[in-house]
Amino acid sequence: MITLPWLSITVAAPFIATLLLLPIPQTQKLAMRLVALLGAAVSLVGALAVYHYYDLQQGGLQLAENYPLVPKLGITLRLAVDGWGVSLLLLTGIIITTGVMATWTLKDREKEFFALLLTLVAGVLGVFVAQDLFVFFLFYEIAVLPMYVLIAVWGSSNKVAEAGPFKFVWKMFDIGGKEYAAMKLTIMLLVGSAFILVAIMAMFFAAGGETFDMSVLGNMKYDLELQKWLFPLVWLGFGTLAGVFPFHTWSPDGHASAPTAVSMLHAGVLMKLGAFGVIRIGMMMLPEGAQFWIPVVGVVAAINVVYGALSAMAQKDLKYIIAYSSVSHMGVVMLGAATLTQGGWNGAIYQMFAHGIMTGLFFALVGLVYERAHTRWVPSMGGFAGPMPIVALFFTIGGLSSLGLPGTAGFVAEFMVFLGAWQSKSAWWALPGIIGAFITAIYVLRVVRDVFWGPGPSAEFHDLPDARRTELGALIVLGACILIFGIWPRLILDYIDPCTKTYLAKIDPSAPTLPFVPQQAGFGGAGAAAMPMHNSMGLGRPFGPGPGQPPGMLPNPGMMPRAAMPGPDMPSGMPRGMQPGMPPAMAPGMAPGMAPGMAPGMAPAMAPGMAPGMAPAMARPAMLGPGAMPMPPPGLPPSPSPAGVAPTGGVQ
Amino acid sequence: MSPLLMAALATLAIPAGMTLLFGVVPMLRRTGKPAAILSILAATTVLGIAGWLFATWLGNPTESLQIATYWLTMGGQPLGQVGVHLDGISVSMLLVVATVAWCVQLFSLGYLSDEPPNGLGRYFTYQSLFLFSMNLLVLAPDLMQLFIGWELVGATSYLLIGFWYPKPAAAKAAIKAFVVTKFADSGLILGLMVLAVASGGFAWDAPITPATAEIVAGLLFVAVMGKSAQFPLHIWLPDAMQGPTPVSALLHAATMVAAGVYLIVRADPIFSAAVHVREFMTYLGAFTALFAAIIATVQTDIKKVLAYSTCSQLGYMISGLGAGSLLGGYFHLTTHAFFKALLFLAAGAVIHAVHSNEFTDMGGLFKKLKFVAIAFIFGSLSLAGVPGLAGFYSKDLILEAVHESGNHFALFALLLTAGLTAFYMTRTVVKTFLGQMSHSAEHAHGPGPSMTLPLLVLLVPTIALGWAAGPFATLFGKPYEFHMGLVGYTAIALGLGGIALGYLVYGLGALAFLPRLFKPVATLANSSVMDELWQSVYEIGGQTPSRAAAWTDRYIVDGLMNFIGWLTIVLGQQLRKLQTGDVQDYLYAVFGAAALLALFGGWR
Repeated sequence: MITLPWLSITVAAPFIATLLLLPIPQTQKLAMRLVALLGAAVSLVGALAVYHYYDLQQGGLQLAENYPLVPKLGITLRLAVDGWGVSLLLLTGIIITTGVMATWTLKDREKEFFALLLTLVAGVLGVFVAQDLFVFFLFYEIAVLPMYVLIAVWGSSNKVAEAGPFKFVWKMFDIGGKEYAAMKLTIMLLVGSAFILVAIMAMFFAAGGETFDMSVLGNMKYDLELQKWLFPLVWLGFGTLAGVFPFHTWSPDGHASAPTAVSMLHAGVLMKLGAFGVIRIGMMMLPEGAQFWIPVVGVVAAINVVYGALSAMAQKDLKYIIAYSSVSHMGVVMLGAATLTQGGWNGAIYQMFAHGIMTGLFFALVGLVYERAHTRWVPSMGGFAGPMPIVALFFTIGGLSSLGLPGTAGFVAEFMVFLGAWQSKSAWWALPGIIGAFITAIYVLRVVRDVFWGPGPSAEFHDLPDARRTELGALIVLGACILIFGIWPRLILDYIDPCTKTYLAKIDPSAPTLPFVPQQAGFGGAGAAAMPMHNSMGLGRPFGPGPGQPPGMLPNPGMMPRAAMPGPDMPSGMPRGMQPGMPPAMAPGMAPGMAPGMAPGMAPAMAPGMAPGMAPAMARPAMLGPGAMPMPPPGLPPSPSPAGVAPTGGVQ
Repeated sequence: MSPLLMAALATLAIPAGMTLLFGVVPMLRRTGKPAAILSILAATTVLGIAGWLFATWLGNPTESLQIATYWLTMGGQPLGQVGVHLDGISVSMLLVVATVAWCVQLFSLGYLSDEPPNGLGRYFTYQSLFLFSMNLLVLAPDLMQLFIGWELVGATSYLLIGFWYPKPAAAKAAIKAFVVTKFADSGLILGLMVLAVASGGFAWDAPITPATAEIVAGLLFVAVMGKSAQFPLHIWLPDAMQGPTPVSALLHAATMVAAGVYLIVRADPIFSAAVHVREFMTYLGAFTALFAAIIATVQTDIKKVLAYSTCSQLGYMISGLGAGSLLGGYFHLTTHAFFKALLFLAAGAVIHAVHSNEFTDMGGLFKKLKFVAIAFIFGSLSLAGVPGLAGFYSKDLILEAVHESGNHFALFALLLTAGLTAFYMTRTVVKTFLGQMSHSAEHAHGPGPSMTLPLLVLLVPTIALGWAAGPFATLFGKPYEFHMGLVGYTAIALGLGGIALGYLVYGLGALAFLPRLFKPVATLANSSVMDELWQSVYEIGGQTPSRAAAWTDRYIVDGLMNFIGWLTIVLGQQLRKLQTGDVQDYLYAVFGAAALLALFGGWR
């Protein structure tokens, strides 16, 4: 089998499409659209290929490609993907493809629009797979800059004048105008970039100035004082893009003014770059600094969640409502990140994915409504479900995901974040999260009612055709993703979880874990439980008694009293994370099959650090006695080396 | 895989497949009637399977089967199970749900015959989704899946209450129902988190300390209060009557609102360890039962009477569970599901005939709608606890349990409720079916066969289920022995007395002072005090901070950014003046600077 350099393909496809777009004459509108769609679709296919080829058993960074750029400064175009990258690539591929589909009918300077849009996306894709700090930053800037032009040229201005004593403020700054929005967004993000640049340079030089390789820089033990002042720079620098309070104010104006596809991309993917940067650069490369600042990060995130939701509730402009809801939901991402727990980080990455899809759907829908109704003013709408049932349906799906209804992707993410918060040192962080979700329920349902339900539509809206063709396609893809990843979260959670575990062990060995539960009782026979945990996509898991289990009735499974189970006490020196991955049902005869069952990155850690007699202990059913609640504290240091890089293609 | 498990999975897959089919093939959905028939066929299959499973379990009551896989992972550890769990409890609940759902779907075919095909298709899509969600809840192997089903039935309830979405009242009621229950569900999320952190999973029988059990049970009970409409979170249920009447029968009387009770039965290992929570349950349930029964005596809308009656009966169940009678609470859930669904569907037939919910548009309908009237009267008698009918047996179990628990307040309130229930149901029967015929009742038309058949089916358990209490109890592994104590005789006396009194007052017009006596209490209870209270909580806790946040964001936070921008511009404009463009000015500056430097150097 020939392995293609999938990461390069994924990242380069939009770039190449941009180049192809340039010579097309302005009159060939269909050709331009098709080229743009092709570029986006190739990225999506690439992302799917990465999803497919990423080996879950092996874990760590995979599909690596290295192309030296400036060897003297140690700058290399290092591309590799981990479990997080896989899910975020997938998200970006979905959003850009649907984004192009949703703006299919754009009527003004299509070529420039699509060229800028695709350039932006190439930057986003690059950030998620870059393993070189310089390249990371380069891609980041590529992703941020085209936004100015995209909003200032193709954006829309809010035409509803604000009344009241503060009218002059609106006039003075032209608030609601697209130029104002574009300017504010760009300036704020660039100030953030300046912070990041300082931090990157500081890390580069503190590490000896030899290389920008993130795995090298990440394993460096920086001076605690240095970390303490670098982390806020990274947090606020990237955090500005992630909408961290109080640096989120570019977001409502920016998203409200931006054209449909740009809002979709910006809220759907770009804001995730910010949060990704905070976690990837800030928390993972400056762990002690992060530990020091984490209370502040968490509190600010909690403010984000509630404050964003409350602000959204008071808005009357449809786009502002969605934009503020993004601020609130990105707060959930940051809250999850700040918990420094397995659940919190899983949830944060999952929320990036879920919110990306959901907000992409929302902005696509809002764009549709705006295009037809020529207004974003909610109080003037009503009864749109009559003429546009499809739009109403998808808006409801998006809304239900937004308020965290189980069965939609939003729930999975929020639930894990809340769980992580509850486990963390600041358990109360879970409360603002739950309050935020509740407020979201109020305003989202109110929007659905005000826009789509009730009598109407009034006579001023005489022509409201429903979603058609490519628009419909975009809605279906996004809506289906919300449901699919809500119903079966392990489709990407199986990628995220082991990756989180490896990273988290590195930065916070004392992160709390859930008490271990012997699983053999619960899983309808040994079938499911005896399967290795991380071996495949998860869908292929047998749904019933597995091999070696007699088919038919199993007397009273799941109801066996815990106390009746045999179980030697857990050896307290066991490495962290060993226990959870080891269902007791694996024990008999499982020894050869154990390796795949272990979390990725465990294997190297085990060999040198394992106490003698460990292996037999693991081969026996390892479980807690009924009285033992909390996990024994880890006695061994966490995995000393990061997961190995497995090159599969590209130039070495 | 065991065929039983396969069949159980089919009860999930069939309605889910229907929903998906209607969702992705709009052409089919928009045909209306064919889609409805397809959905009813699916419900019939589910009913058949549920019946078969139930029959199997009657033969082998202690059997317990499970097939599940995990839904989430947390650091490689499986978390949360999805699949099906079959035991006496889930199998019997499945049969209840399937029966009522089948009856309601069939009934809807007649009830919504005036609906345009598009709307009918949408309605049956929601119905299929509900059946799936409810089965998911019932068959849950642990609390995680129960929660998923729990929220999904809530969402379906939102969609079905808002089925006539152009009607502002329906839109408002839908949101209210969703938001109130969602608010309560925060308790369930928190409970799940506490449980997971304490035990590493969501098992019913998770090994947790009694103190933790109190916390978890307390949090779970908050959600139960929302879903099962217990005071003070009952406010959404009466409004939910804006939905089509069959929906009220299925969701807001028989199954969905009973999910709270089902949760307590399922999570019994947690609840039985939580002594204080259970004591609170006994009090709150009894209070809600009495409170709602009082309100029901003054309603003029037939659906509202039944809605408050549902609140009241759910209070009964909760109180019984609190007193420790698992069987009593659960058996009352079962009998109530049947007779309340019967009452609602019969009321639906009446409403369909006279096109109104109000008593003033009814009266004397016995002549026009004989079968409906008989069904309704039997339902009422069962609800009133007339000996021999199903409601009597289940109610008696609860009363005995509360009596044994020694909670005098609860016992007194529940007994009083028993009398009141008989009273208001008699009033309803009299106002609907007896007495003077109103104008619209003159033109009433009888229901079609698709509406009478479900009534007939539901009539059977309404009458006879009480006699099957023995076999039913074996599904629980609990002994059941019928015996009448003092409490039982009191309840019978109160029930019969209530009926007699109701007939005296409303049928014969005697004792006219009595309704007047009731009036002040009921007016107070019936007024929108609770609604207004919650409304002001919402305004103070939601609207005001929301406006404050939006204002702060625009003028303070954003104002700060704008101020920085403005400052930059102003400073730039001022500094620009330094660049005059005159060579002389620049030379002055150069020489001046040189002189200053020289001075500075000399001074040092």
